[in-house]
Amino acid sequence: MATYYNFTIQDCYSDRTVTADSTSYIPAGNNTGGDQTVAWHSWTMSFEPETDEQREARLKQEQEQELVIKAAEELLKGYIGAEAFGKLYEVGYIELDSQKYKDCRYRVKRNHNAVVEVVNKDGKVVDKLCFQPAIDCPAPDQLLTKIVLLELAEEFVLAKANHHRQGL
Amino acid sequence: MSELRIIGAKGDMKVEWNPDEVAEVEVARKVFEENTKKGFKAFSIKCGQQGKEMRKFNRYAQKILLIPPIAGG
Repeated sequence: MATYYNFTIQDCYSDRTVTADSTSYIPAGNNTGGDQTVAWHSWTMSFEPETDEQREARLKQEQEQELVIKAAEELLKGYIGAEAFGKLYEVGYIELDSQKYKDCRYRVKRNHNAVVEVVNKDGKVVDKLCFQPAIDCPAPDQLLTKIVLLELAEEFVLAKANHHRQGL
Repeated sequence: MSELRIIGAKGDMKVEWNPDEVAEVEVARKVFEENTKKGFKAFSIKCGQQGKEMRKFNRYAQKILLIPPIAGG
């Protein structure tokens, strides 16, 4: 006897909900109880169209998010300066002097999820620091947090971050 | 006017105060203390100068940045 499954998928970009149901399945292996693997030959999917209200709410949320990002970028630019800000977006990272690692610099990448690399004078990565704000804040604010702490509370960062030492 | 910027989940929040206005100073002090108790770190930022970590609110600071707590990844 065929079993049909209904499921919904949340579209992570627009928050639209996709509903789907299976139309056929192949029970795999010995289905005598316990876990059962089900493979679908095909399934039907339908997008629930957004209502005007939902669309309006989504667009408003997107606009608000854009403003938040812009404000966060301005704050970051105000702190690191226009030149460093430009470098961050063009080259993909900026470098900061380290007081604790001899003859090394911190390479903070624009990708806010990336680790901070500790680079020696020969350009070799000697350590990687993994840390991030404990709250979920906009990407430019995450970068600002890393930069400010590395510049003004370096010891605190080194104590908190996870280290991935390279070649030691 | 002095300003306090607090980095938060929905971007940063700004609190401005005039060091001579007691009520404004108290609002800023309250925001400062509430957030530092939550683990935020405060830094006094001066244009063209190296910033400095602050343990206590200073009404005469020009600009204060409150940075959220961090966790090792």
